[in-house]
Amino acid sequence: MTPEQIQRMHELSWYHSIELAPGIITPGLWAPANYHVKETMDRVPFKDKRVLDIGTLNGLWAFEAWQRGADVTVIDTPEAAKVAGASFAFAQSILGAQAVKYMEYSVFDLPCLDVGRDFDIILFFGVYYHVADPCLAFRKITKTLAKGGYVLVEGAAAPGNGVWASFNSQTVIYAKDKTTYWVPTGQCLLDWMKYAGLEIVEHWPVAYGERYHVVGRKPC
Amino acid sequence: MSDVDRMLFNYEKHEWKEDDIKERIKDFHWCQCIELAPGIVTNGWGPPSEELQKLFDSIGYSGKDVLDIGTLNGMWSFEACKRGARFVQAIDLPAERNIPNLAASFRFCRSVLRANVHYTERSIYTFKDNGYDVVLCFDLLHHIRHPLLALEIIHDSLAPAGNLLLECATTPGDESTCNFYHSVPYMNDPSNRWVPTALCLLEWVAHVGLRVVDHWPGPEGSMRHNILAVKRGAQ
Repeated sequence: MTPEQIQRMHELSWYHSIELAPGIITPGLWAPANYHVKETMDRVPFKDKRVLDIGTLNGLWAFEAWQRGADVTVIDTPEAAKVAGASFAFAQSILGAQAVKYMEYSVFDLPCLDVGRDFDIILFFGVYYHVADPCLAFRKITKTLAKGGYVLVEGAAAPGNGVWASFNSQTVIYAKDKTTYWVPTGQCLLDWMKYAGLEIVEHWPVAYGERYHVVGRKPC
Repeated sequence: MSDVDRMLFNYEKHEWKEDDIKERIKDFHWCQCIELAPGIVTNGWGPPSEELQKLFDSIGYSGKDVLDIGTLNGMWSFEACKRGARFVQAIDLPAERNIPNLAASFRFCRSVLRANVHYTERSIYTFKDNGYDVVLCFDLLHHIRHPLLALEIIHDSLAPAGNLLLECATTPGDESTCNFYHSVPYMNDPSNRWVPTALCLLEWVAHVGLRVVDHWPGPEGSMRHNILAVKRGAQ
């Protein structure tokens, strides 16, 4: 990268820490990149797969999928594009990942003609707890996946047993973040996904159960 | 035309005699107790709780446009009509209720009561109409797939300053949490899906932009909650 490019990188705002060149990493707010998510991605092969990254922000996991040989489409809401779209475009140009298609849609717009359907893999990292209707989001994902396609899920969870979720909106705020609505127990998250027509392939908690990872699959 | 359709068609024009009503009443499954003629009441699950009746009685209906979501046999729609509502729209999805001849039972009552109530077999998710002064949503939200989406649509269907009257199953608890029933049914009823705490239910209502005017629990042990809410905006 040129000094001008590095300067430009520092002028932009970043959520993700993306290695744009050897040793040059974007100054992400959530640094460093979550290795648990990378491990989740290791569960399925990406080579030559059609991948959709929902809620891409700066594109960390979309570029990871692209580097693993996938044909990648990403979507994010217009609101997210305002705060993260310029950084995404910059990272994309430095990485030479122009093949990654960026579109302004929400998960609730799926499936739609522009984005397409029958994806082999959908990435749904750090999103379900930010939407008011996570069950509806999972149904949309099921409809957008190819038969036998995978959805990789990561997000906030409530440690504990039982099938319940806390709902935070007006009077109750989760982790000082007003954009977090639902925080389910692991079992509740799994039931949401099953209810949406997905099979559970694998699931595990991290961070003492405060985050949860799931590999789901649309039945063949 | 099926037998049921033929029956319904005839109902619209039928002059009902008491004996006919008593005979026909046996054809249907009754969830609600509706008085069809003096002393002739459908054999439902029982009269509404005092708390739910208080919710229904907390507003006036005269001259209002009312939407009754999940109407079942139509009791509340007919009551709103009786109290002078200008227009009453009842919706339900009989196909998903697993109650035989549910739509027919509504039409039977409507015919007997000569109630000017519109009935549509429709899901709340595809309901597009708006400008309602009152939306009734009783004993429904915990059964449906997407309660938050339903509340958003209810919000949009209300006129400014319009009222939502909401009654829903709740679970005890002081925090804003919601149980989700899919793998394991709640109270042996697989149609139960979301059962929030009262606080969570209030959060849902507030989340979609409605202001809670008043709320109170159902009868002791019923695990129910009643909410009167209003849409913001000038009347």
